[in-house]
Amino acid sequence: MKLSKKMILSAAAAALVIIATCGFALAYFSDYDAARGEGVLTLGGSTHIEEEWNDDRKIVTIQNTGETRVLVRVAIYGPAGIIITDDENNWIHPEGSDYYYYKYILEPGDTENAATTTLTVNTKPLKNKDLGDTYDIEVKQYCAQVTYKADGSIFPPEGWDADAVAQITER
Amino acid sequence: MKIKGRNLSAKTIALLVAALLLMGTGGSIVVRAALNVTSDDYDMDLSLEKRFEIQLLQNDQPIGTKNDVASEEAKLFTSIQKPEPGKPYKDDVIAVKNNGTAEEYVRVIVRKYWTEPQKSDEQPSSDGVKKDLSLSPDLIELKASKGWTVVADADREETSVYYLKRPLAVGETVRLFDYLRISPTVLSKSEMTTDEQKQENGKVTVITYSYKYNGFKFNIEAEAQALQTHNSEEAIRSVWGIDPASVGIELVD
Repeated sequence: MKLSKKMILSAAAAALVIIATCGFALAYFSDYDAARGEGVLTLGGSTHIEEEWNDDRKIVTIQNTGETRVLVRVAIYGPAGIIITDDENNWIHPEGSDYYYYKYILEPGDTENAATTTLTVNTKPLKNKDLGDTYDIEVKQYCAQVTYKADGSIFPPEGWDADAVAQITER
Repeated sequence: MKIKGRNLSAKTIALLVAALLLMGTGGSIVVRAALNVTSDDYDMDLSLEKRFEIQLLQNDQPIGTKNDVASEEAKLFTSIQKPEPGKPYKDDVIAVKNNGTAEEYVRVIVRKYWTEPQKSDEQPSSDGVKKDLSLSPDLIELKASKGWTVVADADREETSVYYLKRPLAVGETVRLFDYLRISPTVLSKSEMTTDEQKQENGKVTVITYSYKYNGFKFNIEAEAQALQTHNSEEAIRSVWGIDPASVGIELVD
């Protein structure tokens, strides 16, 4: 009876030694620190097109009414003879292309302060032509949220002129 | 046997011998225990001399829970207001610093995931977020700076581990990410709507694309861990559970 008690004690002592030894093996020095971050995606863009007649001129104004920065391009179709002018030199017009590319990123803003850009259609040369009572001037306007390549350059939206897009900068 | 004129029985002698033997064994146990205690003290001394400390920094400012334990605030990449698809954001310099008194190995466990926007008529879920698992964490790109090896967790898509390939010296700071970029693939799922409006001088047709992931939130969690360089291979294998060579960690000891 006495002996068996001693054996139990010895076993317990041995177990303690084993636990203590294992403890050493795991006690490596370490430390940690943690942090988190988040952000909300806003995707898509929206613009408003305003066409205003002023005598023989049609002034086309594009306004960024969305929350994101956008690229803008415009094509204007009308009877032969119309003259499209870019008075403020804000547009890139690749040779042979239907499209005028706004050469800056159009920034968002609230309704009153929203960034705008204009193109003017001069219809004066049509005066001497017999076009009947009415004629159409069609304005096609596209906007696309600014998207980037991994190297930081602007990614041309599908179907847009890559060379023209490459020239677009921040205002 | 006689001691001071007393006769000792064979039984008594046997008991005495047994007692002496026991004392001898007990003595050796004491000696061994003493050796263990000495070894114990030696390790304790080391811990007092060397302090292991790691800190996460953004633009040289501490942003980790170590600095502000109670803060749940999002402090990573705070300069990004409205992330544009594809744009590499480099302005927020996220780094780790060895703030201790001994060189250390460093790894950072990074978790990336998306959460859905909360609709106005919806009750918030118990933990306040609703993870969206259909949108890949890979679309949140965190480009590792030079000197790190990134290992994707095979079991959890949202987790990857950044291992610094060399020990970080005392007081040294090393950049962790070159940039954060949201892949333009987030624009891939879109819906087209057409709206025709009659106006004074004609009509206007508006074609609008709306994107499925508009309003989604990206989330990033980073936990930096430091480890002793003493007995490095064993330490890395035991604590981090990896073969140091497999991630290109250079061993110093």
